[in-house]
Amino acid sequence: MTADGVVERSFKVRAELGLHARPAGQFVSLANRFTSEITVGRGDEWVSGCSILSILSLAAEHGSTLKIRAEGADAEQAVSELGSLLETDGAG
Amino acid sequence: MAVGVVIVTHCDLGKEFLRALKLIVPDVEGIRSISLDPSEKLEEMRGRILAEIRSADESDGVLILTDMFGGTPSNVALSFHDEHHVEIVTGMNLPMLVKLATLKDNKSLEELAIFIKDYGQRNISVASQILPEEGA
Repeated sequence: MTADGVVERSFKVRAELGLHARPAGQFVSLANRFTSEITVGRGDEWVSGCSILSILSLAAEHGSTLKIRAEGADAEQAVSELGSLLETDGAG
Repeated sequence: MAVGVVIVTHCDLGKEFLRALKLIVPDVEGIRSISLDPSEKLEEMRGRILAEIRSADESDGVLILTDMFGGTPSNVALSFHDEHHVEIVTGMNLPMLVKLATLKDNKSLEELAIFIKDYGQRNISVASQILPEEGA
């Protein structure tokens, strides 16, 4: 935790086809279950974790690293579960 | 979503758009599609569209998405513009549908039509303009 209620960690995209439309939809669906504000970053670019098209705009291919940042009461759980999704082959 | 959404297209484009949308947003609800067959009579087309407008309208109006301005689906949909609370946006794409399926704020029909047109245009990209140069 970098500050009160803020969690940020990096994860590798494991899915062979990268973070394409369907897994991005799964990511957003999961992100919406948390009350924390969730953003996803690649390099210096950050987008909302609740927008499928914004996540797709990061063009995160297989093996790329994404940062997930959550701010709020369930931040730790959000980053943990969303990170697991990125690191699962099934999210492809 | 308070505003109803109906897709009107040539052939089965609308149905297939919805099938693709459901892959990305499996729990999507309330977006209807009408496929127009070239052999269908005009009054039959109007009748089917009107039935969907009535089913989709929960009192805040209906956004009709069509595949191309000037095509029959658009032309027939446009004929409802003056007599019903509908707005028509032509030249739809999948990003627009994904956005409509996940939109949380309640916009009025008029606001939604402008927003979704701009959104669809913004999400047309040329690969070399968005991808980093090789080696960068």
